[in-house]
Amino acid sequence: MTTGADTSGAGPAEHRDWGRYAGIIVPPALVFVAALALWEAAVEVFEIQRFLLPRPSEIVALFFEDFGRLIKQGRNTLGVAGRGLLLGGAIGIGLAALSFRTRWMAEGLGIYAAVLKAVPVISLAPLTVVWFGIEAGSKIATVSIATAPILFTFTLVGLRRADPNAQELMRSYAAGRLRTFWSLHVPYALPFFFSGLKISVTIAMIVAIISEYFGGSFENLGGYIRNEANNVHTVEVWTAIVMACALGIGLYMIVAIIDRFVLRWHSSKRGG
Amino acid sequence: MTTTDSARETPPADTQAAIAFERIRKEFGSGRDATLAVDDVDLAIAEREFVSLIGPSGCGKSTLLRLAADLIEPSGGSVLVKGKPPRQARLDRDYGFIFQAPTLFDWRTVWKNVALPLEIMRIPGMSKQKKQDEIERLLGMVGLDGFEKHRPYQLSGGMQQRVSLARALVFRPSILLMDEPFGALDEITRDRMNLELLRIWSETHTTILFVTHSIPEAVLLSGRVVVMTARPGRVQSVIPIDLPYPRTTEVEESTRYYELVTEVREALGEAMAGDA
Repeated sequence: MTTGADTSGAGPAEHRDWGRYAGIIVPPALVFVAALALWEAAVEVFEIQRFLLPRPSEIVALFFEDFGRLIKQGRNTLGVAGRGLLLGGAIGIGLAALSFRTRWMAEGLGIYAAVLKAVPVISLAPLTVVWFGIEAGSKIATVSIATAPILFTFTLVGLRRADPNAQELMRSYAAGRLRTFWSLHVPYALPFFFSGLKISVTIAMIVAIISEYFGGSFENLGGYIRNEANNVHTVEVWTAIVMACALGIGLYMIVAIIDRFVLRWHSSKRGG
Repeated sequence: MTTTDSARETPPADTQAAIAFERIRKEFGSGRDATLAVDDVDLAIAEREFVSLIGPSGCGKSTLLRLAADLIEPSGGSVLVKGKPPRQARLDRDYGFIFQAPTLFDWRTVWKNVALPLEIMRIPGMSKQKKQDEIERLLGMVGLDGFEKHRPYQLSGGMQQRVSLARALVFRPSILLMDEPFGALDEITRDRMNLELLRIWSETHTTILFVTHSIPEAVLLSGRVVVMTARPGRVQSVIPIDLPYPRTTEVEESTRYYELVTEVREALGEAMAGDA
């Protein structure tokens, strides 16, 4: 395996790819390990109390001990985040597709999308509880409200980015609106949509946990954090945070991989 | 500005012009910001004719092309394409439009790019097999055998423009509207593309209306060169190119060719002087 410096060389493509991936993964991994070691040492040296800042080794140990329960809770949170994202995506993408041809509509909706993005989610959580009840419904709604404007904005920009010449080309073929939409506008929108989706998946996880924190079942990460924090079970809270991070990063990576595969024709993905 | 006699020369009455501009006028914008891009242009292009439009930038040559393609609408006068309003000609897929940029879809392979018009247009009596044969034949014609599975960004500029040409020919339009198709190519590639275009033109019996900035290109390709003035765009003169077809590189060494290049250059000089 050559991970040599000659990335522009004529070597087999997968070798260069591995080299590139190693370059992406190794440095942050080293920083991570060093940070954990420093943390562990700091707790030891400064004799920090356990309920303030537990040792990473203790968190890791409990994480694996409680893994079964954390996964179950994580799955519930993931379900809320996923369903909220689907709903928010359907609304955001749907509105973008309906409005991108009409300037006043796109700009009118764009203002509200901007306003919604500026609204702190925490202020929405109690409201959606009033509207949709204390359980999953309200949390899905909050996630949708947080993600819809993001996906709307990104998709809209992409749909409107289609090359004017290519639009005229489609017109010269007397292609119908739907045809032009699928054959031209959608491919142009995809890179932007994926950028929006990458942001949205992490936000969906965060918002799901925050809304769970505001009430309802304990059988999810947010509810668990609320319960354990009230009892000053700091290590337990940390294990939930680790699970939330792992799921968030996992979701992000799934999207990133799909993005890479679907858009391998796109200039940003060609590499080399 | 006077036009020479040949400017008003129209094809005999019994043969319908492929494209006919009549007292065409095009204004962009409105009120005080309005600019007159094209004013009072009469021009008829016969079937199977190769006509070039040449003139300083802003002379409205592209505007004329876009009017014929129904990409924009005239402010006055009329355009007829195969005796029909441009909109109808567009719906009937009578013309293929070629832009200066190849305008290929990066998410499609070369083959799929050429197939695009056939996917959109349901051409009666064209079986799947026939479509495939046609795409294969055209890719061969423009010299791109073996590149079917390549993506546009893997090709050179010249090759990309050949894909664009094959894509315009695949649904067999009787008219090609070409907007400086080789303007972005290097001299050598451009020369080769010109000769290939001449060959394709003679093989496919299409009518070509060709916008260019290059005098030698216009003379080499065209049966008539239309020289235009700028702001507003008007026809300055129409110069018949009486070099025999088929033309090859040898034509470019003939005395007559030089005389014609000079004639077009002088007409263009006059057009520019009128502008200044």
